[in-house]
Amino acid sequence: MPELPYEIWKDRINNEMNILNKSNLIEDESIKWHESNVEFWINIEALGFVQDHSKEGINLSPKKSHRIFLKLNRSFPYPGGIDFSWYSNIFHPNIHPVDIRTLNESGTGYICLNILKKWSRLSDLETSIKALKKLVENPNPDDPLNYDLCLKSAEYFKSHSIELLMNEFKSSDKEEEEEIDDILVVDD
Amino acid sequence: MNEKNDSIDIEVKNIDSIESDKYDRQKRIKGWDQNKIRNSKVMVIGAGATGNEVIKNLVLSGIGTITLIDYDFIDLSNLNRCVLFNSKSAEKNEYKADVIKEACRDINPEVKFITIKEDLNKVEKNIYEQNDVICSCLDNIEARLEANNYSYYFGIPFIDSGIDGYFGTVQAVYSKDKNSACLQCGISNKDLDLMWKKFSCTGKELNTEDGETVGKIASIITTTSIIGGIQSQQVLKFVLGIDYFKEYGIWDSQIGKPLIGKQLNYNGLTNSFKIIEKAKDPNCWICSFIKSNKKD
Repeated sequence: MPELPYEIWKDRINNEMNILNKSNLIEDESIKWHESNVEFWINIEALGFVQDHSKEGINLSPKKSHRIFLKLNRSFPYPGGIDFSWYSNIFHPNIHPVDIRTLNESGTGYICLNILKKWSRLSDLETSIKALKKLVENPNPDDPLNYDLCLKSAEYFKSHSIELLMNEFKSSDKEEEEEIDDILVVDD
Repeated sequence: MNEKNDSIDIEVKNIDSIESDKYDRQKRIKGWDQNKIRNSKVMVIGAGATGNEVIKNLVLSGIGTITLIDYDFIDLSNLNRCVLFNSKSAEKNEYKADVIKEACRDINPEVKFITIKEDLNKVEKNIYEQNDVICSCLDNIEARLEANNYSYYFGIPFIDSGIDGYFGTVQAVYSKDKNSACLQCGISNKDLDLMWKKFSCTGKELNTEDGETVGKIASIITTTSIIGGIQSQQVLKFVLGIDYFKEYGIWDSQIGKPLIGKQLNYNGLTNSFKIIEKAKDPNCWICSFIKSNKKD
């Protein structure tokens, strides 16, 4: 993959980080610049679910705040420049968190995000993170990641309507939802 | 009248040196300065068909130093279009760069030849600054963009070429000419998609959505030598005319303007050339950034 000269690369990333910082997504003092990449933590808000292990069977409870580790390598903004690692616990067919809380499986942090595969000239960090939020609220059980937890959640979301589930938890919560372009719908 | 006397004078004085000067004929071109050619440093990236032609032309013209970057070995299928290769080197599977260096020593021993047998993205980036002109004779878009990005950043003239059967293109990029579009300006989402597919799926040959196979393209020496000829002509124009441009902001009419911000397209089927203006992309990842930084 080609790369931008270091100075231009750094400028570009700084610009994109400033945009993210306007909505306070980046964790304070988490940014670490290296010669071949930059790393930082972000916190996003989106309605997702986690398993409630206190009861028997699959019981879900809502989880609105999520922590993600981001690494931008030197090929950014060319395709393959963003490496997301989903940290906090979540029950989702397309996300395999690091903090997994099951005994027989270790978390990888992998995210199956379509926008990273269909990278365009106008793609950037902001659109990728918007797509990530959209993914949390629109699980795609037809194309799960091949891990026990993700397969289990795929099965669950195939038989349970995500919309009903969402409405159940949303009704108690009157926060404004950000509108996201249809282009960002993740269906892969 | 004075002019006439002068020229006679020179001929009489240097009659021996003219006889023995191999550059005599090209020195007769108006605006030519062989010293500029001798002191110039040109980097050629890629030692394929076009690379062979370009290097042959530059070596014959007496370019001072040529740096060649190529990590590949010679294959039998190269021999239909590479003037500096031979069947022995193909049998032995030698490095392309080594064989070209050897062949160039026979053509013109005055040329200093540096070979770098490494992948372009592993080469130290200050190599761009150390050269006067960068010539890309590559077969893939990733390396082209890499060379474009760094050449543009360091303000070094960059000339790109491409071949496909009877068709060929040449385009020059020079960041000190404010109207110059760069290669990144013309990159489409389809190009990015293809780059990603190549990057993420290694091994097998890729097919685009149109069913074309990516990788090996059709190539013949006739098209290659036309395109290589035009490309090396651009190198000479930059070498001869860049001082004038830096001083006056325009190109010397005796040397002419290189194909900056333009793409020359050759169509061997219709025997025609077409020059297309390349527009600058205001959101380009490379040139828009350099411009905005300079303003600050």
